[in-house]
Amino acid sequence: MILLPVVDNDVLIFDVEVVKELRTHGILGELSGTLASAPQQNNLLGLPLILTVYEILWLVDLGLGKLIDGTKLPVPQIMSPDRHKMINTNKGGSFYHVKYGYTQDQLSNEEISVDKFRCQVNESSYKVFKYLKSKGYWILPGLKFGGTFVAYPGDPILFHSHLIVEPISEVNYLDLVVSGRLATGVKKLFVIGDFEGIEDEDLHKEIKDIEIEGTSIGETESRDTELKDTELKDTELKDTESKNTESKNTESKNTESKNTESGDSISHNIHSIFSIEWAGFG
Amino acid sequence: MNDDDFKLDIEDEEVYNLKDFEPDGTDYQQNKLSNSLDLIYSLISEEIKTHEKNCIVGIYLKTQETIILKPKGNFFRDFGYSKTLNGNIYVFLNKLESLYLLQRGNLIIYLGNEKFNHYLDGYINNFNVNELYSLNLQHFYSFLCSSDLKKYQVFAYLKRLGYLIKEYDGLKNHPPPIFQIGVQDKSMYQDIFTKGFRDKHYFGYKEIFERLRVIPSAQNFESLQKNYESDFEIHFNVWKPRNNFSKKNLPVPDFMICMVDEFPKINDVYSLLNKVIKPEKKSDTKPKSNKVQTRNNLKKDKEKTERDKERERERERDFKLKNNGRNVILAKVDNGVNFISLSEMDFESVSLY
Repeated sequence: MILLPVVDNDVLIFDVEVVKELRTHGILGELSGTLASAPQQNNLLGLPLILTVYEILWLVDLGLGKLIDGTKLPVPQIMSPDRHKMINTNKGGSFYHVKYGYTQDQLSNEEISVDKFRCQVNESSYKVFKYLKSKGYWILPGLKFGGTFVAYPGDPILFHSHLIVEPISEVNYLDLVVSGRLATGVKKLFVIGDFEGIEDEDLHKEIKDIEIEGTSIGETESRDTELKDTELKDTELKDTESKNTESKNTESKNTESKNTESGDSISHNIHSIFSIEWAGFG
Repeated sequence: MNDDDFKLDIEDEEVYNLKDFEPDGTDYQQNKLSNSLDLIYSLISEEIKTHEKNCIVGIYLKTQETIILKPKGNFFRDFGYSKTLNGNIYVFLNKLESLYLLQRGNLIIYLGNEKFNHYLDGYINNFNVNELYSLNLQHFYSFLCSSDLKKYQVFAYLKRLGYLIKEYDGLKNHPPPIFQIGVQDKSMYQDIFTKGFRDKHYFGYKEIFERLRVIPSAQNFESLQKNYESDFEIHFNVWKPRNNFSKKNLPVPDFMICMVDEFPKINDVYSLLNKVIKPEKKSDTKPKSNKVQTRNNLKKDKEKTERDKERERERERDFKLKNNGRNVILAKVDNGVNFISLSEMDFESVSLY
């Protein structure tokens, strides 16, 4: 269980180990601090990692994280300069150190209710987020591409994003045209989706189904990461195909029959994911 | 500021190598991924340290400000304000400025206590800073509410790029912008019946039509005639890096930034623009080119076609159209900071037809 310290309406992570662990769950957050070794650039930033509301909810809903009071921190240590000095042999003189923060076991244990985060989100956006997450996508906020999310087939550090995602409730016909054109221009697919009429429990069931299938969302701790990655890949392939209207009928040759079956059952239940493309007739 | 910072060349490392299309399950790709991640993890876990010579000591007070006992360094060109307490001059930093310096490793912040307050009030003569608790980053971040955090992200983003920033403090240090009705009267109706129209002889329809303003248009600064109620506020004044910057006598800011969650409605835009400090008149004259008048250059000038000249005129006109009015920059934090510039268009004085 990862402890997520809450300050006002944000969750800030100051521990590199936690950042690593979150990444094994495909939770990226946003690095926001100045990097100690390169303080005058914005290409790569440092700790703290700020989690988005969707990521916080997802972690809590799947039982991976626990919200705790981030303002109740251990009493700061007395810092006599001598104790924190380090002799630099090259240049001479000593250095003061500023620590980032506390490790997991030093944090308070006072749990905070998730409700204040739940009322901040657009529900259909969150359901779409959950669905994509269950499909193995990595998700970042999508303002730069004019959507609610952008979805990546793997870690965004290495892969280009494939999808620009928007819940249907946020889309009107004009948006379809604008975003569809934009997406084509940046070689992505504009995906709109909604889960109206599908209860949250059913969605959980969907996610559970996929878990059994082997994408291991929610159980990643116990699983071999290598195994996870390859299986994620399979579902992704299938997924992009089912979204791609043109290649709807083609079947992935390599997928096992068991996988295809469960894949079909998913597409039966969740039928309201659409892809928008310019049809290239003629 | 440090030249070494730029030589670190993060972009050259594998972090920002060309990206792949999708996972292909190969070991090669796995290695590449884990190498990139390892590099990032090692960079972000690097310790924040300060050389004792460059270190500034600050004490965080209950007033949510950090008092700097001995300010030194280049940062105080735009950071903080100074105040005299008991005959000593101190510099006070706000939360954003303190956090920026703390994170950069230029400042150590201690948490103030009662005894220190007594010292500031002059009840105690001596005070040893080592008696206080020092704050780490997580501690300091826990003083920030969510809106502060968003503001800090924008603030730090611009600071890292070298801009000079102060929080917006209204129009008090600058003359309020005034709306003046343009030289030309506004409507066609007025045009025909005012003296300005009649005190001239017209010798053709063309002149009359030229004199008439058939297309009514809004003027710059026209929104100042009315007070608009709005929740939108300007948050930062930003200056490009410059040498003659003085905290006491602040120049007119180059940019003004408003943090937004949603795009403002038209009333909000007017209200925002009314809060903008009147920009200095930009000189119309272009910097003269240092081209030597050689025979070749003259020849080239002659070869410039009418079309080229027209294009140049159009470009100048468009520049005027966009830059004659007021401007405010909207900032939204969403996976990094996004800026949108919003300018008043000057259709009144720039003629398009």
